[in-house]
Amino acid sequence: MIIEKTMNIGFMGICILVILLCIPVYLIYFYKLNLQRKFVIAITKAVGYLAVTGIMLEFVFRLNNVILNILWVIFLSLLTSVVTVSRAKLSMKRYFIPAFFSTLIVTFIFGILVIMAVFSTGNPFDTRYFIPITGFIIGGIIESNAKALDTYYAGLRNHCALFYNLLGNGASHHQAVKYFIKRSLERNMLPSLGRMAYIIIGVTPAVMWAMLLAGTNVYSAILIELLALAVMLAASPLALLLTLVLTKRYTFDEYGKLSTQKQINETEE
Amino acid sequence: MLEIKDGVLSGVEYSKTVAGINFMVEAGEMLCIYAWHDEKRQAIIHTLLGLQPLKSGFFSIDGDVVDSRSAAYFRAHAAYVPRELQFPSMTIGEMMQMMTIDKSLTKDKIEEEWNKIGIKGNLWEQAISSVSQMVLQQMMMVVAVMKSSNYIIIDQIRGAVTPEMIVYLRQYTASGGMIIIATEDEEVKELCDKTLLEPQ
Repeated sequence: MIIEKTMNIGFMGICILVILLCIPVYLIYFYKLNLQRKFVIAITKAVGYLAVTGIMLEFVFRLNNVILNILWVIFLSLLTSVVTVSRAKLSMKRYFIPAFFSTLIVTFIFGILVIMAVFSTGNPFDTRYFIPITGFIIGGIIESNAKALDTYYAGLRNHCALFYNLLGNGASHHQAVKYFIKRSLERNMLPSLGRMAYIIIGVTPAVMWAMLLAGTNVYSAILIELLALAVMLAASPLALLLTLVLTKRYTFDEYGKLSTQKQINETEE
Repeated sequence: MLEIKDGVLSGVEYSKTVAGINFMVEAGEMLCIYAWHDEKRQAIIHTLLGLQPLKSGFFSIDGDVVDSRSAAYFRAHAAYVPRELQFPSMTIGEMMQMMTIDKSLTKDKIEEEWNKIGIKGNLWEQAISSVSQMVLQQMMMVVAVMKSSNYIIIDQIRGAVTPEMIVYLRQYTASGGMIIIATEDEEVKELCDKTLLEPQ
């Protein structure tokens, strides 16, 4: 799976990029779509984030240093955790650390396993493999886990009657929350399953197209695409479960009851 | 035997207003927690389920104090029928199966018992929302009795305990079980062995 050619996009490529962006601009203007502000914000954000990411990655790839690579993944995990917790509308103070550790642990374990098994490299921390693979995993986690965590905690809040009914009838903690875990896992896995089910043409198999562009042979490109999907499908729910395990002490008190915000505040005092 | 001695409830806004709770329920008895206000009723039920501690005093079952370490054990030998029945969308059968850990309580056995108190029809596959909350609670009381646990706590919806239901519950107490029922029904209160009024 050696990339035979490297691509360099020159000035002409950038011009074409700008021309392409003019098409939606014109359509927004012609049809008076009222999307000007959103379009500008989206493009600015995309360019900004990619530019910053690009500069940092350039630095990481040039040095190809193990410590730096690990720090990069830690940094991404930190960002992922912030986004996941805030999108799930949870307390950053309580849930950030568990989300961070579960993301980091799952990313490292799956990342190294996949690199060692698939790429047969002696150095799993080689930038060329480590950064993209861990990037896939973290990308999958960030997308699925925010919604799944929101589903879990919203379910417990809105259907605490079911939870207390089960606890009161002798269910263990795991049995009592199983229904809510089930719903959050469904929420977690549906986007990935949807992608896999309809992955035929278009932008969905982005990895495959990118690898073909870079000169990889077709079979390797398809395999890598499937691998990326499989890794996301495996890592994301595990990260969710690990987060739920680590946050149990913040969500439930020593009697197994749901902690209210008042109880949390009293504990903190 | 289930006992609270010199109990002060936690989890209520003015805990001193629910101080000095003393009662004992022996095997075969039915205790009525009569006409308590919502917050306090909820607090005492959660205390009896081992879901929250007393602020002070003791809660014991057969002489063993119920605390954070033993609560789960005692709950495994209890049954609970809540008043709050706003469950997620599921069938009655799914609800009953979740309520019973004992797999020997099959659909046929449960439906047979439901027939005894006048709940007929193929309700197992019906959605929970297809029956009234009163009927749902009656169904849950039957399942609670079938579990043969040491004690049952019922947070009764007004009107859910019919004469047939009382007879059914009394069969359970006759076999040595204890029932604690929180209710506003005076008829139910009259049929209980003991009554616990809200401390003033």
